[in-house]
Amino acid sequence: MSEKFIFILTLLIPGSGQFLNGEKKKGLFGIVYMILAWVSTIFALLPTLMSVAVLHTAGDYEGSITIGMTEMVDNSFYILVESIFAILVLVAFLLVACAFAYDAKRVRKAINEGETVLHTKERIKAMASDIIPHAVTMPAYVLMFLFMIVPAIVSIAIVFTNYKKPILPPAFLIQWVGFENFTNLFTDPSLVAVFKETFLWTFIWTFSATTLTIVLGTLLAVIMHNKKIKGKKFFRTIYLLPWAVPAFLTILIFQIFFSKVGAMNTIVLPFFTGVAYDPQAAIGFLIEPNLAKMTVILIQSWLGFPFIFVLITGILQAIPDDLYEAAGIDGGNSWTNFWDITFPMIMIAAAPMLITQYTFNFNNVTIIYILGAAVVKPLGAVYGPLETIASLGYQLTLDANYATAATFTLISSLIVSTIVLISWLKTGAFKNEEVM
Amino acid sequence: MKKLLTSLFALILVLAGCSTTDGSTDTTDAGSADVELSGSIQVAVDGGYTDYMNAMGEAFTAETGVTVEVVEADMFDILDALPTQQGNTADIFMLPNDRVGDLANQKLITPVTTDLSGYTDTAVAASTFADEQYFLPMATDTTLFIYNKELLDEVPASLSELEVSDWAAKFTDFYHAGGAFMSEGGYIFGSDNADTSDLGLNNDGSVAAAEFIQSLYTSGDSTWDLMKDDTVAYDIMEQAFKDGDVKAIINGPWALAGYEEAGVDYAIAPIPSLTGNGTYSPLVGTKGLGINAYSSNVDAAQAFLAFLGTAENAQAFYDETLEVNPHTEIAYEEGSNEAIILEATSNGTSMPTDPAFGKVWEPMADALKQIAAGEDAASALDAAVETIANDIAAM
Repeated sequence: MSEKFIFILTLLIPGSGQFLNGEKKKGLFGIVYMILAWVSTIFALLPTLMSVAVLHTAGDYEGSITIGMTEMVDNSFYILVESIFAILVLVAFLLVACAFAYDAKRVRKAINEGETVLHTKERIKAMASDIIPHAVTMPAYVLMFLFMIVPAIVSIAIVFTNYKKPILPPAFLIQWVGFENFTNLFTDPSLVAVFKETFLWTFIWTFSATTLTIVLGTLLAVIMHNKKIKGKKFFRTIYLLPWAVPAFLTILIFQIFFSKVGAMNTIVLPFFTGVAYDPQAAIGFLIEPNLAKMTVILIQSWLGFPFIFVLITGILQAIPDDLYEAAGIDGGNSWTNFWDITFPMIMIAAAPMLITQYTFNFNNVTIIYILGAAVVKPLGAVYGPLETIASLGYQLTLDANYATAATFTLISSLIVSTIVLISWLKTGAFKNEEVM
Repeated sequence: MKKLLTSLFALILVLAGCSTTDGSTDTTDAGSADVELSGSIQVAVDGGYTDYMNAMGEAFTAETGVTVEVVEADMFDILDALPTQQGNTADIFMLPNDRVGDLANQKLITPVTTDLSGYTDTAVAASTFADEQYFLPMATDTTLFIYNKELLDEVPASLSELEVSDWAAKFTDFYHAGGAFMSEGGYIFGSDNADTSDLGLNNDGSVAAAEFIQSLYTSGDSTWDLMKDDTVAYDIMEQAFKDGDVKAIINGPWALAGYEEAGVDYAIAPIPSLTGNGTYSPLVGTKGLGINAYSSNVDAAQAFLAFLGTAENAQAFYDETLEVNPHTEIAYEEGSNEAIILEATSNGTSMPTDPAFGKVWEPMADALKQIAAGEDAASALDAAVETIANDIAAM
C-alpha cells in the first residue's frame, strides 16, 4: 500500500489508515472521532450554517437575504456568532482529520522502509519537552480565541450586514447587504466628510502628541539619570504624579483650567504678563480651533510622559557604566555619549513600546471627547475640528450604528496595524538577537 | 499525540455544544386573551419615586394579586441596557419623551392601552409616536423665566425689553434656546412636528431669533461673553444669578432648590415672548412609565399602568414627589410653582418623539455656538439644517 493511498483514505475516514497499519487502538479512536464529528456536524453545525443566509421570496423581507428565518424566533445576532463558531469547529475537525492522515502516512512510511515504527506514545515521550510549553500556554490560546479572534471575525462579518439602529434582533432579522456599507462611505455626505475633515488632523494629532510625549519623557529621564542631580527620588515622585491621577479627572480639570474663567486666564497669564484679567480679552484656549489643537496636544504630552519617563529610567539603569567609561577614554563628551550609546540602547529596548504609544494616541478617544466640546466648528463643517477617526468611530457605536462603526474600525485598524507591523519589522523588535 | 488529540477533541465537543444551545428561545408572550392577572412585575424607577411606587404596588397587589417588585435604578442606565438586556430587565420603567420613537422603532417598548384622555394635550403628544401611545405621563418640566424679586418688580412683556446685562440664558444649547426660535415663528419639523422632511430651523423666523441671540452675545456684556464657552456657560449663568449680577435667567425647575439654598428671593413665570412677536414656546420634556416589549407579563403591566393613571393616584404622585404630573384633575394651588410650571408646559412645544429629533441636538448646538461666536446667523442655521437633513436621510 502506498503512503499516498493511506493518506487520502485516512483523510476521508480517520482511523482507517491506523487499522491498516495495525494500530488498532488508535484506529478505533479515529473511527469514534469520525462518528462524533459527523454527528455534531449534521445535527448542530449544519443547521446553524443553513440559517445564516436565508433568501426570502415572500413577506416583509422579500428579496433580501437574512440571518435566521423568523422574527422573534430566530435571533440573527446569536445565529451569526454561532455560525462563526461552527465554521471554526469545522476547520478544527478538518485539521484533526489531517493529523490522523499524517500520522498514518508516517507509520506507513516507516513500515514500507522497514524502519522501527515509532508509536505515538513513544513519540510523545520523546517530544515531551516540546509539548509541555504548548500545553501550558493552551488556556491562553483558548481565551485569545474566544475573546479576541471570534469578536474580530464577528465585527468583520457585521461590515456586510445592515446591523444598525433600529434593526435589533430578535424583533428584526439582520440582512446581508454586501458592500453597501463601503459604498456608503463614498456616497453618504456625513461619512464622506469624515475622511475629508478628520484624516489629516488624526495623523497630526497622533504624531505630534506621541512624539512630544516621548521626547519629554526621554529628556526628563536622561536628565534625572545624571549623577549630579540631587534629590532624585523626590523628582521622580513628582514626575509620576500626572500618571497617578485618573486621566479622566485631569482632563476635566484642564477643561476648566483653560476656559476663559479658568486659572490660566485669571491667574497664570496675568502673573506673567502683568496685565489684569479681563473677561473680554481672555484667550479661548479650547474654543478657537487651531489653539485648541495645540492645547490638546500639550495636555496629552503632559498626561503621557510619566509612562515614558519610567520606561526610559528603567532602561538607563540597565546600561553598564563601563560603556561610558570606555567612551570617556576615547574622548566622548556627554552629547556624543547620548547619541552613540544612550539613544541606541533606548531604541533597542523600547522601540516596540514607543510604537504602541502611537497606536494608543491614534485610538485615544477620552481627551478628544471631553476637550473637543467647547470648540467652535468652522461654518459648514460636519464634524468638530478636534474629532479624530477613532472618536467618530466611538460616536457611531454609541449611536448603535454597528454596521458603519464596524466598517470604520475595519478600515482604520487595517491602516494602523499595517503601520505598526512595518515599523516593528523595521526596528527588528522580533529578532531574538543578543544586544550586548 | 493521542493525549493531545483527546484534549482537542474534548474542546471541539464543548464548542459544538456551545453552538447548538440557545438556538430558538426567547419567544415572548403573544398576550393571551385571558384577563386573569397573576405572577409578578418588576418596576424600575429613580430613587425619588420608590416610596410612591411601593405604596402603589401594595395597593395594586391587594386589588389584583399581582406582586409588584420595585427596584431603584437610574433611568438612563435601564434604557441604555435595554437593547442587550431585553426581557431580563424591568417590566415597567421610566422613559423621557425624546426616547419614545427610538425605543418604539427598535420594538423595545410596547404601546400602553391606558386611556390618556385625562392628561394635558402636551403630555399626550409626548407619549405618542406613529399614532400609538407608549407611556403613562408621570412628570413634566420645561424652562422657566426665573427672576430675582428684589431686583425685578414684574415680568416684562418681552425679553427684549430687558437690558442685555440684566438677564442670562444658556442659548448655546438648543434645549434652552428652542423656545426662542418658536417665539419668532421658527419650528422644528413641519405639520406640528409630524413631518420630519420639513425643517423650519432656518426659516425667516428662526434667523430672526438667531440674530437676536447673536446680538446678546456680541453686546459686549461680560456675562454673555463668557457664556460663549458652552462648557462653562451653565455655571456662569447660575453664579451670576445667585450673586445678583443678573436680575433674571432662563432655567428649569430642577435649579430652584439651589436658589433657595443660596438665599435668592426668586419667583418664576412662563417665559415671556422674545421680542414681542409671538409666544415663547419652550421645549417641554415629559417622563412617563413604559412597558418592556419583551416583558413576560405584559397584561399585568398594562393593568398596573391603568391603575396608576387614575386621577387620585396621579394626585398621590404629586403629593409624594412634588413633581408636576400632567393629569388635568390634579389640584395645584393657585399661584404655586407647580401651577406656573404646568401653565408654562401648556404653552410649550413637546419635544418630538420621532427619532429624527435626536439628530437635531448636535448640529443646532454647533450652529448656536457659531452664532454666539459672531458667525453669520443665516449661514450657520443653513449649514445645521443641511446636516440634520442628511443625518435624517441616512437613518
